[in-house]
Amino acid sequence: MNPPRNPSAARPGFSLVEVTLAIGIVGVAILSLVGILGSTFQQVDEIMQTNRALAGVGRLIGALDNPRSIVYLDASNQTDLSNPKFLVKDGGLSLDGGNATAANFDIAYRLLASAKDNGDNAVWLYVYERKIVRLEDDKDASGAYKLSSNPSVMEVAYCSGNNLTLDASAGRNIIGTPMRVRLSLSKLLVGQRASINASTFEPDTAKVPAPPWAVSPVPAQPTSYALAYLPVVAEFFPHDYSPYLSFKTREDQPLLVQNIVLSR
Amino acid sequence: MSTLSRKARAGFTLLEVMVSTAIMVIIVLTVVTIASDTLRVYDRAVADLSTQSESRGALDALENDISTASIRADGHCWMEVVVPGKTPAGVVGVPGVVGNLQAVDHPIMMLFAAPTDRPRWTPGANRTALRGDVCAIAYRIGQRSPFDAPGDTIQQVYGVYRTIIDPEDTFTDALPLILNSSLAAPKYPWDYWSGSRQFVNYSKSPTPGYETRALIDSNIASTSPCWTMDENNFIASNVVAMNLVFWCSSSLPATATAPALKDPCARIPSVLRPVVCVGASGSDDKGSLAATSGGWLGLWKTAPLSNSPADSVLRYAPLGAPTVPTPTATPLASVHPYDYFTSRLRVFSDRIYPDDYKLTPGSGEGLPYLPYTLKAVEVSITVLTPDGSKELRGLQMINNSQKVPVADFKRIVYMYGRNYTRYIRVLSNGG
Repeated sequence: MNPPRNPSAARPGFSLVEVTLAIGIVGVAILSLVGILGSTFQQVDEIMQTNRALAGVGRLIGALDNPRSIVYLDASNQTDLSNPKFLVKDGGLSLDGGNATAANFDIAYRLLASAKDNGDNAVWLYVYERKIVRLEDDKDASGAYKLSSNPSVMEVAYCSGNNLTLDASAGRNIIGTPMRVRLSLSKLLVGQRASINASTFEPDTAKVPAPPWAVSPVPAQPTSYALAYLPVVAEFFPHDYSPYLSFKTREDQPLLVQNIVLSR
Repeated sequence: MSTLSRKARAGFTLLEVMVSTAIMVIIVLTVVTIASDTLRVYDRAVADLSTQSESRGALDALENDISTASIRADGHCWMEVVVPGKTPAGVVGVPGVVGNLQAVDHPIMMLFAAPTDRPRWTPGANRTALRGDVCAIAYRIGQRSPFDAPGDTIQQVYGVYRTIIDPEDTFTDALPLILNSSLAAPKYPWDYWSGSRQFVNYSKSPTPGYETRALIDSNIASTSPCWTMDENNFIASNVVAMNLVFWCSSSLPATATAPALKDPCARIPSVLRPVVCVGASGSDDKGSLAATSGGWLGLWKTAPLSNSPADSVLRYAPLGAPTVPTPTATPLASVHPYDYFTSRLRVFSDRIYPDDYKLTPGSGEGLPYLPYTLKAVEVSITVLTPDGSKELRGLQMINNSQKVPVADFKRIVYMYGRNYTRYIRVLSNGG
């Protein structure tokens, strides 16, 4: 006689291990697809940030041409929507050289003259878009919206300690990712006779050497600067609200690098 | 027999089914959650990319035109802004406000520039090159329907219209109007744009050709629209606001003493100061909001008529509700204290006339204009996402009107509006 047939062997189903394994494989496949989507969204985010950086270039050049419009944010007023402080007046850097009617170029020059490298000596500015009306103020007592539109403006800010905080983003209605801009003197200065000889009032014979520069290659005061322009390099980074001590040493890849020439 | 049959068809045990079902439920829930988050991010990405694409179309065109704007130092008006729904003196035929938009949110800007995408050939088969490069250009926001005839009450989409008049017609019609004007008989860009003019229409039916039509008329919902509202000039959709900030420097020395003309706020000439459009009614006004709430007033320091330049780094607007100022009869006290306009702005190379101000002061009168030189224009446009546009059009259909309830419109702009800003320097004016 034949032994009795094992019914489960005749009609084999899936074991728990098999089912779990199959579901696991399907799950991994779905998660992989989601992962690919994630990288796509990351690219979308980078496109958005790059576009903001491109828009910020024009505003930055405008601000360096007219540095009196650069806002000054210290720890106490980063969240102040009606912040009345400006770098030239309140930054304590003596950018106007004691002359209230100093030329715009002279002010920008004093700000940038010591930016001899992109380390501790670099000048950091922030460029961002902000809506003009605080969101909670856009509602009346009944909760209805007041405004049909809440325009935005671009602002260039200098922050004490080089930190733009997360509180500032909320307090000052910043929209999107602020751009952190590192400004340093350009290598276009190399070979130029940048200083004015104090006795002859002619350009000094000494030429700007190749970097790294142990000291600033240009004189501290614009009156001693021989060239009609000041070339600087602006590197745009998306600001992630990390503190200065953290981001200043990071080797981040800039979103955008722009050569800017300031004219007298 | 029945026992054998049950054994032969044995499946999973209850425990196996419960465990596998639990695992399946956990995995499905995880996938659904991830998919939901992904779709939400996808929607946001689509909204961002869509609005950014629309805004770039408009802002790139504005940057191209404003940066190459022709503003000559010849005592003529080369740029003008007229606010829809307002009636500045001497300006007739101003169209009303469009749909739910506030007047201050969609000014009509007229200027002269040399755009690279200007018409370059005569229309028709035997084309020849058009001479010249300076074109009359106008920007405005209107409504149009991509599905129905112009002027229909539903499916209306807001958007930016940019109209370029070919350089030869600009040279024969528009430029003589400006160049032949004088202080005694002034003419402005509006005088050109408010008339019926000839222009090149490459899309003219049945064949491309020259056409003569009203450029801007007072009808904003006509089934046969004026040329500036023609679909050929539609460049960006879902734009519900275009706010302009005119950044200017002083064209006068701050230290001038009487009887010389004096800077309104005794500021350093090179300091940029903003001139903005505000609503005179106080409703939906970005100008009259308290400084603590933001608004233009909060953005820029309000300084008195100070003689201290250091205290007047930037300035805009009075503390009270905006009113149209009038030159007074006391020269020294009548320096223009208002850096804003409500209905009209006329831009000359070295001066700016807000609203109804006359060109020259009368005997004993103060300065009737802002002694400003336009350096840059900061444009902020608000673009609705596709979802917002869809909801707005749905409400238009429900209400059978181009306008929807105000509260709904504001909610949609708040929820679905994206802002984009561009700071554009006016290179021809030293910007």
